[in-house]
Amino acid sequence: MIEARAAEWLAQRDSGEWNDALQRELDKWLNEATAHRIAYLRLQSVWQRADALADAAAPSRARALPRFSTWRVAAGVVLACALGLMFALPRNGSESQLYATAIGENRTIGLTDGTRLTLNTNTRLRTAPRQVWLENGEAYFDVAHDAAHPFVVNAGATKITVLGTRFSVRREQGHIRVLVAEGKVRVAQDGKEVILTPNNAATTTRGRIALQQLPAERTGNQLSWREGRLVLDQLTLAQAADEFNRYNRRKLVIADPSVAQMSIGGSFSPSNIDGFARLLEQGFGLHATATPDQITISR
Amino acid sequence: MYKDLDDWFVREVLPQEAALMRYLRRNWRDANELPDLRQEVYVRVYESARTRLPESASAFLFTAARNLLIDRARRAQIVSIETLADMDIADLVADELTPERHAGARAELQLLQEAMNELPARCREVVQLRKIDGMSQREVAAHMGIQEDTVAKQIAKGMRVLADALLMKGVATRLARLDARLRKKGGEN
Repeated sequence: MIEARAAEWLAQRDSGEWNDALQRELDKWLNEATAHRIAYLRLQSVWQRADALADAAAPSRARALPRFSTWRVAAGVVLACALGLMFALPRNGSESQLYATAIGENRTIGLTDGTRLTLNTNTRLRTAPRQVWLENGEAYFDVAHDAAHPFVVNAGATKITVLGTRFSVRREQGHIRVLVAEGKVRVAQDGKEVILTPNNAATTTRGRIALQQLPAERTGNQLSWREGRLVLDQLTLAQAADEFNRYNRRKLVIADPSVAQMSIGGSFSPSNIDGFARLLEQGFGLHATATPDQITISR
Repeated sequence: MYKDLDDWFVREVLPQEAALMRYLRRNWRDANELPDLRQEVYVRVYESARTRLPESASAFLFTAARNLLIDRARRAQIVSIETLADMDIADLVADELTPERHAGARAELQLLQEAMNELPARCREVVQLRKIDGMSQREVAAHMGIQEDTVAKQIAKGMRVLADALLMKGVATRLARLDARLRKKGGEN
């Protein structure tokens, strides 16, 4: 029976005994028939919702075995931050795996625990079991649930702890941005911490964590890079150019400051800067001058 | 904006399961066939949505349900299916107590806890240790003194019972919301 099989698959995944071969088998089964996929989605969505039960658990509930409890995670986070860099980098000689994407490249990798990471343009990160160090760029995390082993993303002095959820982390000069699509994420820095839920974003700079609540559509827009689209949402031309420039060696330069503040929106292919420049010419009456290294936009 | 079709399905279609089940229950005599009918409706909706996402997931869902029942009735040669065919979809959507799609955290939790009560005792213990205490399946097995295999089986069973309890029940809308829907009858929801 299809539902029974779907439940078996999910239970297997839930056990943590998972690998690439099993993932391939599961994908094959899901693709065999829509009915398989539906049964799977249905049960999976419910099992994820059941995570909320953990939040309601009374602290006084007797535990037979010592647990990696929420209190201990919070303490662990504060400790790590206080000790600073010592815990922010993987130790030399430890088994960490390096992944990096070139400018304009987009790459998805699967970790042994079932977690899937998608690296955006110009991104560099290291992985170890249930840990990632984001050195540069932006990545989207679809973390396999394992309450016994919280998944941790380290980005500079910011530590992001999750049980199993979907979110992105972007690291740039001076700040780190975390955006949650699904589930719950704990973001900590310098002894401060916040818990993010879906459509929340946190931007951390030294000394501050700024919170934002986004409409669901905007969250989708800001994650559209995963589908190879760049969605510009209430940005100035200068900001739009900066976004495009993350994806291209050939840069967009806004020569005229009066033009830089124009409001731009829309969905674009990030590598198509010539198309974008043409749009600016035709739609906004601007002037684009192209050279091998850059496109200059002026009035 | 949805990440992909699966995301759309989970966020827009699944929350309507309770209303869908009520509709199917009212219009199909054999209660044993309801889970199959439900899955068949989902398959039709999912496959149609592959070509183009419908504007209104609920109108689409109930239209698919109605059409499925008509097909089945025709195949089973059930007389007088005219009643089904005449039913206005807009009426259906307005009349249903649509589950509040994004129920508050508290309501959700209550629903979950009630759903837990539907689990058989041993199954509930396993799910509690796994979800509330956060033990891994291996740890649950050690704690309860049973095989890991058994734990996985109980988890699988728990998922199915929880799904039926959570999705088929849904959360009833407040009367005010139903009222607003009836006033907007026939319009886009």
